[in-house]
Amino acid sequence: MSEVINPGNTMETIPLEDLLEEVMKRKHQGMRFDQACAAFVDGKFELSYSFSDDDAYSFDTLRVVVDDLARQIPSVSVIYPCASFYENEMRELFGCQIEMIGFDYKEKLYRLNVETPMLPEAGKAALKEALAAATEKSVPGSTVDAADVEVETDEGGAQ
Amino acid sequence: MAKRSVVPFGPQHPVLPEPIHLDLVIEDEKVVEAIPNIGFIHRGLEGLTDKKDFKQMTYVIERTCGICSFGHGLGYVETIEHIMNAEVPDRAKYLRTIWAELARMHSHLLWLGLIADAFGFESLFYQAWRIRERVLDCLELTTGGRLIFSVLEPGGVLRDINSDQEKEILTQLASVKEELRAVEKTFLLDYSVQTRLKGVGVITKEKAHDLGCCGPVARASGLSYDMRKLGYEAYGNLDFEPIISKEGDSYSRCQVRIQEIYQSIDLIRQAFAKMPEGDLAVPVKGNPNGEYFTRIEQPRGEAIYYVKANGTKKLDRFRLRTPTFSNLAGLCEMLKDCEYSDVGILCVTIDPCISCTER
Amino acid sequence: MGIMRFAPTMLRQLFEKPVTKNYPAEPINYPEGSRGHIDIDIQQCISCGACMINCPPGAITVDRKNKTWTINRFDCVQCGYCTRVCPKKCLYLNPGYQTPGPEKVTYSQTHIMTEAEKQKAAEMEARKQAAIKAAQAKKAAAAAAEKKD
Repeated sequence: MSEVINPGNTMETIPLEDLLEEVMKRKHQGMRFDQACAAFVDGKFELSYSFSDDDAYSFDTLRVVVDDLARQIPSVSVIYPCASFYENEMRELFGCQIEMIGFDYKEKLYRLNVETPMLPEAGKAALKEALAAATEKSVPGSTVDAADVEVETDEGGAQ
Repeated sequence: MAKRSVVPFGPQHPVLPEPIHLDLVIEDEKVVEAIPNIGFIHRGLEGLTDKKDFKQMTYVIERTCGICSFGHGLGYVETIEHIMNAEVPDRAKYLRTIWAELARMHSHLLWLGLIADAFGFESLFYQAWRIRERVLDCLELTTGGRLIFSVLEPGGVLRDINSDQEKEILTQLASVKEELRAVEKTFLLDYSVQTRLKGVGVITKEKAHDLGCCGPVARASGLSYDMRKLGYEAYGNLDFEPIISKEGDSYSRCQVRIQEIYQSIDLIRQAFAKMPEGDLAVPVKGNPNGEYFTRIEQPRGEAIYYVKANGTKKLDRFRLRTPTFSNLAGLCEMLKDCEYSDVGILCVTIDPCISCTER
Repeated sequence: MGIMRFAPTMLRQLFEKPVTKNYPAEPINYPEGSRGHIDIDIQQCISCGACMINCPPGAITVDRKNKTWTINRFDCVQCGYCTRVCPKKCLYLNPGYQTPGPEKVTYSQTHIMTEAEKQKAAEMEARKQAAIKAAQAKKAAAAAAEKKD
């Protein structure tokens, strides 16, 4: 009978600010990047980053909950280059605002007709609103800019 | 400096079993960089969770892919069972192990055929698939389907293997072993085959670890990384060690897969010897509530299943990370500095299953 | 390393029988329990619609009024879930696959009512009508009483 190595899964919820630091820590521990995925639960993004160890078979998940849908999420592909594929997928299917992905497919990984197909209708509307608000914040003053942003979102709605 | 040009490769190419597109940056005959592109068969199966209930999803997920069908069903069902604290009967665990290993055998034999086809050895391709036919017959006999079995449900299995079928499987396995011994010689010892495989697409142990390679690709590079060690289903009661090879080239990937077929035969024999009598399934009542990650060793490597359930019939999120998805990064690494004529072989050596990858 | 490693296999192949079957001259033998297509024992069917609700690809439609059971065999994935959810267990997975065709056709069966069932249905209908009448009378009485007040 061969030896069973099953230390079980662990999950840790961390704030978004600590994400890169925690991922870096795991890189130094020599863990491999296993997967990253997003979920949309109760109007928030739940991002899971999983790491595992080659010898100990441990499975370590970092959970990040993002309340503000338009919040910029740092990419972990600077630490683990292979995370690019996962992050492209997350952004394309859910619309998470992941920035600076190492290898950016520009929303063309799956060649979809529909934007953010995995988000429910309510989530799509919330995301659009949050994005519009974020754009407005970044361009203060000038009413012309705000009007432009509105027109853009309207077009998006019609599609 | 030689002139660089970009050559599109795929999605339709004689060597590719499934559609993947590669943009190859080429300098003379050497590939400098490869950019993979997928997305030709994305069907959005993960998104079906809001239309189908969690029991129907078992059948949907089994049909993600024709070759890894049983593994996908197994991973999903295990996750659901873990969330619902269902204790699966021992006999069901052994039956699942037997089917999973038969599925591994037919997948590896399929791959042996494909790689033979990729390096241009058509008769060897037919020999490998002739052996595979025996495994498919065993599967059809016991489950009623050749590739998609539909024998899993949360809580157990739906069909049993009786003693006649067991005898039939064991005799077929003996012939598979014998026939494979003959074909193996060509794969591993033939001069022309070796020149096509040895030293091609080397991926070192460190690179394989950094890029998150899994399955036979990782094991061929010397990483002893096999999810069956977790002891899910009946694997904890069976005797086996992960098969590893050191070189990390196409030849060792071929070697690992051939050895794994023998290992599967051995595991199936062990499982039949140890299989207890008993029930096939426990009733699973209610709806799942919670979340869990499961890892399964599929023929192509480690697959991860994630289910988030909210206590209703429909799941919040189902996620399937397939082995090919994590091996894509490894593929890009292999393709760097390889000959243009080897691109086809290298694409096949990771055993790409794009249908599952895109879901 | 060696050359001509494939020669023994190839030479043996010359004297062996072909491994493939001479189909269609020889028939295919499906093993017992092969999942080919769904059949229904329509006289057992109570048109409850459980198969229609639970079918993963949505291939089955049940018309409760006309007691018709219809399957689109080109949509069916032979998972056999309907055979397990059927309360009457009147659905069966039988060997033999759907042959391809130039257009999508559906297969449908209508439940023909026996005399006893007809009588029962008529009774149920009469009871239903009586109940409706009673309810209407009650409503009218209540309305009349309200008017009086």
